[in-house]
Amino acid sequence: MRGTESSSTGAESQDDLYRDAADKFGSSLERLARAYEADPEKRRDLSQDIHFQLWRSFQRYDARCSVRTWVYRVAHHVAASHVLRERRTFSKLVSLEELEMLPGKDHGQFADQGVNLERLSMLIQQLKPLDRQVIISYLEDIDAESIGEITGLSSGNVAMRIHRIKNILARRFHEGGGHAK
Amino acid sequence: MRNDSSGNDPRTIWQNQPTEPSVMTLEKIRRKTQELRARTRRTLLRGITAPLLVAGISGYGIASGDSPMMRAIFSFTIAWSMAGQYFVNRGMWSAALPDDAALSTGLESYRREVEHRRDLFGRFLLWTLGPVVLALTTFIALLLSFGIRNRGMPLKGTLLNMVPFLSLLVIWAVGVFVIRMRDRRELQREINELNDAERESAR
Repeated sequence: MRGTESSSTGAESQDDLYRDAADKFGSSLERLARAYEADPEKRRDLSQDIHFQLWRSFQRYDARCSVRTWVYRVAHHVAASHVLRERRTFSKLVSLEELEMLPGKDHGQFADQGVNLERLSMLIQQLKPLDRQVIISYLEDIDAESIGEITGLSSGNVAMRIHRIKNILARRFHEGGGHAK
Repeated sequence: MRNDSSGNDPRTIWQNQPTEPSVMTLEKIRRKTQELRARTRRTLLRGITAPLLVAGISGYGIASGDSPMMRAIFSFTIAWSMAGQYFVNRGMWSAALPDDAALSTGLESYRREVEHRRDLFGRFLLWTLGPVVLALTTFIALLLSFGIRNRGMPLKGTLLNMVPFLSLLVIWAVGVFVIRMRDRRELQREINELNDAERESAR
């Protein structure tokens, strides 16, 4: 593994690791930034912060977890700190449980993709950071075991949260609960 | 990736959104480091406002008052406020991610961030707002003692003109205290929820 190379090649390894990760997860990281920040200017800053901290973090990468888990952990950490810094009224964020209780508007089966994306982003941005980590991972098609590894939640806890996510999405996007993993 | 032709499938919507992935170049990293330092400098400069206020009020109090006890309190307030700058701002220059951020799970690192935020609010109340309140209280006591001793005469001059300013300061201090305490309670509630989630996960 490159992360365990000698210190003389450490800088090169760090750059290589970062470049590979950015190539592979660049689009996912952009989507993640969108889930945490609605304002396009601030989102660009957040995205740069994530990449910057990711680059720095690879100096310490030791292959104790997969690159994907590493990337998501760093990205969620930076983004959650951003939410805590930016959020004036922290209490306005809700949990999945609370969101499930809230009535959601049904915009019909054939709403425009852009509108649907906007609605989905707004829905995610209402959530508390830990629930955001789960829903983003679910939307990125990450399996429950890996979500547990990223978030630190047990498989049972992840399953319960995914069940709630499916209910919420089914109600708001006409998606059958049985579709999702 | 999931093959769902439905345009309403949230995962398809999410994964098909247009993105412009950015990659950090050395130039961008250098610029980002400068930006982080500039942001820290701005935050530190903003933080100097309260100690300056304390120094202004206390300095005026020391110059105007004749009681050694009041002078001692004003001196203590200045020292408290200066020391507070260290305690409130320590660690500000390290914009780095905690060393184990990527080794900690999302739950652990997020809880640490919330705890850090809560402690920051606590430090602000103790080291920034505390000296302001003490300086204000002592100054108001000084005004009242002048008034009582001289039957209100000195209050007709400069000191009387200070009453609106002092009233605003008192309102500000109370408002800041109430908001910060509410935020701390919210953060503590969040920490409790995260602890519950961790306990459930450990079962």
